[in-house]
Amino acid sequence: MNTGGINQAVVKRMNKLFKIIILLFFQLGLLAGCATSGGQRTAKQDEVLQKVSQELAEDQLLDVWIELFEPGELPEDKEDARGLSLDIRKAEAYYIPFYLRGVMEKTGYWGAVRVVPKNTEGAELLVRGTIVSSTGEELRLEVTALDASGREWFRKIYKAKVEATDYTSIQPPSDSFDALYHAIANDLAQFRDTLTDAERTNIRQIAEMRFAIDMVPDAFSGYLGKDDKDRYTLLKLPAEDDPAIQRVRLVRERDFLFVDTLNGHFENFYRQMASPYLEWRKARSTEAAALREIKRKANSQKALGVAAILGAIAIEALGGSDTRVSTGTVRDVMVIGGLYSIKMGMDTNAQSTIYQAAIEELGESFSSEAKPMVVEVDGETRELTGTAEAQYEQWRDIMRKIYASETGLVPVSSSTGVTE
Amino acid sequence: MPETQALQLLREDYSSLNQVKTEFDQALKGGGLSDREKADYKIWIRQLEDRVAEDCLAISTKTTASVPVDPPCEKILASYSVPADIDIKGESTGQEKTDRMLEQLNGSLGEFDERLLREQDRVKSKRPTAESAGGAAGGAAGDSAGGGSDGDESEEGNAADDSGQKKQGDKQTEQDRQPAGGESGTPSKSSSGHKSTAPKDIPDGRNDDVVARQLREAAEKETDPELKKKLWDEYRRYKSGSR
Repeated sequence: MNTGGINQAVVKRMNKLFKIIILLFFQLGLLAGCATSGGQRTAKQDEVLQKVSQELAEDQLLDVWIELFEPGELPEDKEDARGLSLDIRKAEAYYIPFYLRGVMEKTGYWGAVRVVPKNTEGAELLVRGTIVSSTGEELRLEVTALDASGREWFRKIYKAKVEATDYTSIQPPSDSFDALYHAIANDLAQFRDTLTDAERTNIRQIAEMRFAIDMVPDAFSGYLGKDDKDRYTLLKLPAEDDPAIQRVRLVRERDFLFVDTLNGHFENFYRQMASPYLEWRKARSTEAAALREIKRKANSQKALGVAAILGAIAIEALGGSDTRVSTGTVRDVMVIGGLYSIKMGMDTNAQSTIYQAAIEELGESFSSEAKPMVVEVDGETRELTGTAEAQYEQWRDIMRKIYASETGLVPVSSSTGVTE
Repeated sequence: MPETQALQLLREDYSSLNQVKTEFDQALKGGGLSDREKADYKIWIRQLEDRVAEDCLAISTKTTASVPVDPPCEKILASYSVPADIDIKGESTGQEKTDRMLEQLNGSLGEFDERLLREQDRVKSKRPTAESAGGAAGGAAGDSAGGGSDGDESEEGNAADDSGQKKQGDKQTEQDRQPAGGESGTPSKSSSGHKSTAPKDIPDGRNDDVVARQLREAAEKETDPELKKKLWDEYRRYKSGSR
C-alpha cells in the first residue's frame, strides 16, 4: 500500500482547503470592513427619541439643513415593485425630510432645522438622504451627515419594518416609522455630543465664512483653507465691526428667511400629503400581508387536499369488504374534503390575483393623488429658488463693488466674470 | 511724465522756493516791506510749497523712483495737506458712490423682505385647513413660514384630531374605491349589506380573512341543508383555528 502517496494527496488537499479558508476569511474581512465604513442600522420598534436634559446654550446649537431626499430607484423585481411608482417616491422625497425635521426639532439638540433644495450652500450641519426602499411595510433610507467643515459625521443605511396592524393606532402627526426617524435623530445627537464646544463654534464660523466667500470672494477668500479632500479650515476671522461681514450677515439673514419661506411650502405639502400617504401605506401593507397569507394557505390547502384524497384511496385499496362498508362515510368525507381543499387552494390562488390588482390600484390611486401635489411644490420651490438666486447674484455684485470702493482694491472679477 | 523730468521739476521748484524764502527773510530784516507786499510774498511762498509738495507726491505715487532725500520730500509730504478744492471733491465722489451702492443694497434687501413676506402670506393662505391637514411633521408644532412658530399647539392638536375625522372619511372613500376582495378586515357584503342566513352562533364577518369569507359566502349560497351545515362547521373550525 502506497501510504506515502495517500499522505501526500491528503496534505495537498489540506493545503488547498486551508487556502480556501484563508481566502474566505479575507473576503469576510473585506465585507466586514465595507459594512463598518458604510454602516447599517435596523431601528428597533421601541427606539426612544433622545432629548436634551437641559436647554443648550444658543451658541452651541448647530443649524441643520436637511436636503430634499433622492427618490432612489424602484425595485427591479416586478413583484416587489407592484403598486410602487416614481411619483410616489418623489412625494416621499419631500415628505420624509420634512418629517425628520419635525422629529429633530423636538430633541432640543439643534438650532433651526430646515429642509432645503439640493446643493443649497450655507448649512452648519447638512443631512442628505436617499430612499432605498419604501413599501409601507419597510422603509430603508441611506443618510449622510456632514458639517460645514466638510467632515462626514456618518453615512448609514437605516432600516425598519412594520406590520399592517402597526398602522391601526397611527394617525398624523405620528408615523408608523417613528422608530427609524428616532434612530437617525439619535445618531446625529450622539455624534454632536462627541464634539467639543470649540469644534461646534468652529463649524458655525466656517459656515458663515463659506457663505461670506460665496457672496464677496474678494473680501473673504483668504479666511478659509480647503484641502484636497474638500475639508475647510478656518484661517482667520473678520473683525466684528468689519462692514463687509456685517453686510454679509444682513444677506444671510435674508437667506434664512428665504429658506423659512420655502419650508412654508414644504409644510403645506406635508399637511396635504400626510393622511393619504398614511392611508396608502396602511392599505398597501394590509393587502401585501393578505397576499402573502393567501399564497401560503393556497399551497397548504392544495397539499392537504391531495393528502386527503390519497388517504381515502389507501383506505379503499387496503381495507376488506367489511372495512369498506364501515369506513364508507369517512372515505366519502375525505374525498369531498380533499377535493374541496384543492378547490379552495385554487380559489385562493385566484384571490391572490385580486390582491395584486388591489395593490396596483392603490398605488395608481395614490400616485394620481400625490403627483399634482409634487408638481405644485416642485414648481413653487423652483420659482422661489430662481428668484432668490437672481437676487443673490445682484447682491454679490453690489457688495463686491462696495468692498472695492471702500478699500480701493480692484475686484478680481465681476459677477459676469469680466475684470473690473 | 518720465522720472528724470519729474525729479528735475521738483529740484527747480524747490530751488525757487528756497530763493523766494531767502529774499523774503532779507526783505523782512530790511524793514522796507508794506503789509500788502508781505501778504504777496506769503501767498507766493505757499504756492511754491504746494508745487514742491505736488512734485514730491507725483514722484512717490506715479513713478517707481524712490522719494528723494534732497529735497526732503518725506518731510514736505508729512506737513502737506491735500488742497481742499481738488481732493475733497474726489473723496466726496467716492464716498457718494459707496453711499449710493449701500442705499441700493439696503433698498434691495427691503424689497426682498417684502417679497418674502408676501410669499409667506400666500403660503399661509394656501395652508390646508384643519379638516384636511395631516398634522405637523414629527409631532412637533409646525413652524409658520418665516421661522416663527404659529405658536398654536392647540391648533396642531385640532389638526390632528380633525385629520382623524377626515381619516375616517378617507377610509370610507378608500373602501369605495377598493376593488372586489379589497381591504381585508372590512365587513363582507353579506354581513353588512344583506340579511345573513348564518346560524346564530356565527359571528358577523367583520374580522373574517379571505379564507373565512369564502367559506362564509359558500355556506350562505349553498341550498343543500346538509352541505350547508358542513360548510358552516368548516367555517367554525377554520375560525377557531385561525384565532
